[in-house]
Amino acid sequence: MWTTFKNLGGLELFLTSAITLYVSLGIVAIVLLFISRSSRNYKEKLEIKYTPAVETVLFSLLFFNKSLEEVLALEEYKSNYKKKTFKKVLLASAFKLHINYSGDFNEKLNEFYRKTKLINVSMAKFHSEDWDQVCTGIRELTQFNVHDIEPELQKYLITKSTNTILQLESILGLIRLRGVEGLSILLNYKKPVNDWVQTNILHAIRHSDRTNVPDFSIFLKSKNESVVVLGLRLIAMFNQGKHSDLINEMFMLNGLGRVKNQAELTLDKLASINLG
Amino acid sequence: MGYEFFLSNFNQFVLILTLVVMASYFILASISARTMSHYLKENSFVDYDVILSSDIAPRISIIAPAFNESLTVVDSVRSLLTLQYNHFEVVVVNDGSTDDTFQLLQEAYQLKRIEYKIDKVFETEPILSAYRSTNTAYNKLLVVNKENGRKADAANVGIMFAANPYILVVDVDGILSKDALQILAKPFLEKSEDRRVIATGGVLRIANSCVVRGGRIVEVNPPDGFLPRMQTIEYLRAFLLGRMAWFKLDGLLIISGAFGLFEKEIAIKAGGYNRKTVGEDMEIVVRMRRYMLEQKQKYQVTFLPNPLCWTLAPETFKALGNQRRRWTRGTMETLWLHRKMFFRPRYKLLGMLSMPYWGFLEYLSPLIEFLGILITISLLVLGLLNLKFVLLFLLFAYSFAVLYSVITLLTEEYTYHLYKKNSDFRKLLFVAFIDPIYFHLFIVYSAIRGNIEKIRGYSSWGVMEKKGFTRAS
Repeated sequence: MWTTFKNLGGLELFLTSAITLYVSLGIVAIVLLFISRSSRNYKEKLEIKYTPAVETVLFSLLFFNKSLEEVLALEEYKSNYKKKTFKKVLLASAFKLHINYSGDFNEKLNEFYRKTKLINVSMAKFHSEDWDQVCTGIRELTQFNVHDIEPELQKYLITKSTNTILQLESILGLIRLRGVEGLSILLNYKKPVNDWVQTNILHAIRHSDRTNVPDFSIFLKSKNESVVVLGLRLIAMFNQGKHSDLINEMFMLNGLGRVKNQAELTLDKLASINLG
Repeated sequence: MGYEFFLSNFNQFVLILTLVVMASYFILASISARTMSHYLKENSFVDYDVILSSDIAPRISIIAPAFNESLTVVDSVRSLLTLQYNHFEVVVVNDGSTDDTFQLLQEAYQLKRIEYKIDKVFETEPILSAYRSTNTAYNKLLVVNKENGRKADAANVGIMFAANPYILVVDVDGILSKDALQILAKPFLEKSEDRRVIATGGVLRIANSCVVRGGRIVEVNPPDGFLPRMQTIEYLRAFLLGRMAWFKLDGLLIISGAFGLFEKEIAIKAGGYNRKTVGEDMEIVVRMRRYMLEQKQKYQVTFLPNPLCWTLAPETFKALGNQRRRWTRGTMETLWLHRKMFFRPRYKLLGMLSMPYWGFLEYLSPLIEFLGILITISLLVLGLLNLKFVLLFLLFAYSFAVLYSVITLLTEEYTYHLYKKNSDFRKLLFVAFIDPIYFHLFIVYSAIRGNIEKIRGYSSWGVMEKKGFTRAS
């Protein structure tokens, strides 16, 4: 080993090569840094540039009572609609408005979404190979009430994917499309539904169409313990007090900790609602 | 001849160790980058606001030990009380402050003494009194007065007073992002039936020169001072490229003392915070993990790369040295207390990789580096070492250090992009070039002094320098 120190030939070569490599990688990283920053700044500037045109188009449609044909004839739309960033900003803005409004406004936005072929942008995402693109597609399509994708959503949920985010987006998408009835997909669901997913489901239900509320006791017959827990939570949420005896029976007989705990909580909640 | 033989072998040992350290850093960085990229993709679909209306969300007790915090305590507590979350309480433990910390709290929050009953599961310094606010707007606040016993002791008192099953121990002078609790709560909701999440940590960022309004960071700037600016890069390296990888490998040994969420039941069963160490943040994580492994219970310690907590970094060499000497002593104490875990398959990756890594690469590295410098100088003086080789070796180490910092900045840019202005980014980039010859040598020096202090039996926290945040006008 000492000879290595004396001669240093191989060692010098190694150190010189390593330094060259590190310096080259450093330069590449710095260049990437600056490219990333300028590209981000450019995109942001472009988005800011298109925002007034997008606002003119959407506000004319929603708040200034212009017909769809008149809106599509606007210069702000005609001169920009082929541009990718404009479409992106337009879709994002329409999506946000759709979340914040309801009724006629949303009907107009649904029509606009189809007529301007923004639906094709979302469909392309939905059929993408990347799961995150698929999730974005699901969000957009279900927000704009595109019911055609329901069978695909069911497939994602049951068989097609093991990605938990994609599965959650599929359930939430079904709830957006069908309201509370979208939950029926969980009746024969075999995978565990963790508390994070349940929190999202319950939140979506709170903000969905609640006109035809089903009898949630059907979930209590599931062999999937987490679905039973969700059923108990839904019963409490919708104050379906008629199931108190059944839940009480579950509480007395059920040896499983989680179901027993939730049964107790549900009974307490039902009792407090009735007292109130 | 024997002398020469020792010296030459030592230098080769240093070279090999350097290569091992470099390789481990590259491996950790690539694991981190991959894990973070996946996390960010997933996170872009997460709506944390769903937790706000949820009854299932975990109940959290925030424990804030406070010792002589009169400069920041009122604002800090207000900032904690206004966190975006429904199911939480704030337990401020006044650890025998000798300034007017308690009086300021009492006045600002209209505190009234209350009777209390707690389960005394830990031995602590005497508890003097407990207070709640008479103003219903502050009904989440509980203030406990106790005799001074250092942070670990105060945190243990906080745990005993905590009403909720999860405890978040924070530094009272830190600033949490307003959605910090929502983000921290998610792993606890995602846990599977048979694997409990016992602890979660997040990224700590440097707040010097950042602008604060209403107890929140409203403008992120790199610190004006060189020393805190270097710590900014150091923290980014540690949190973004280090801890994320250890989390992925399931070998995370430390959750920052400024910000860590724990399951109360396990923290109590494991014995709470160790009052005899100055590295209580690392020690409690190791002990809780050790407890779970010895009990053969499935568990998880998670880490979130989100910038959840902001803290002020020391601005003087004196304060920084004090902090780093304490960290060295804390590491030594934790490694020694849990030496039984080294290379024991029973402790899985923790015993076979994490503990040895911390022992040999994190703890011993500065010592070996220091010895290496001394021996290299000796060899040069004795004419036994080629100057060209020494210079090449130094350049080799320097170029690696700069590269690693640049990769860290690149990671920050691709992930959180918090430094928006180009001028800010250039400042940080500049620091990456001078860090190895300025900051790093001081850190090595402090580590050596920390070792000497430990050998001499020094166990104090030292005097902490207190400074307020930059407030928006």
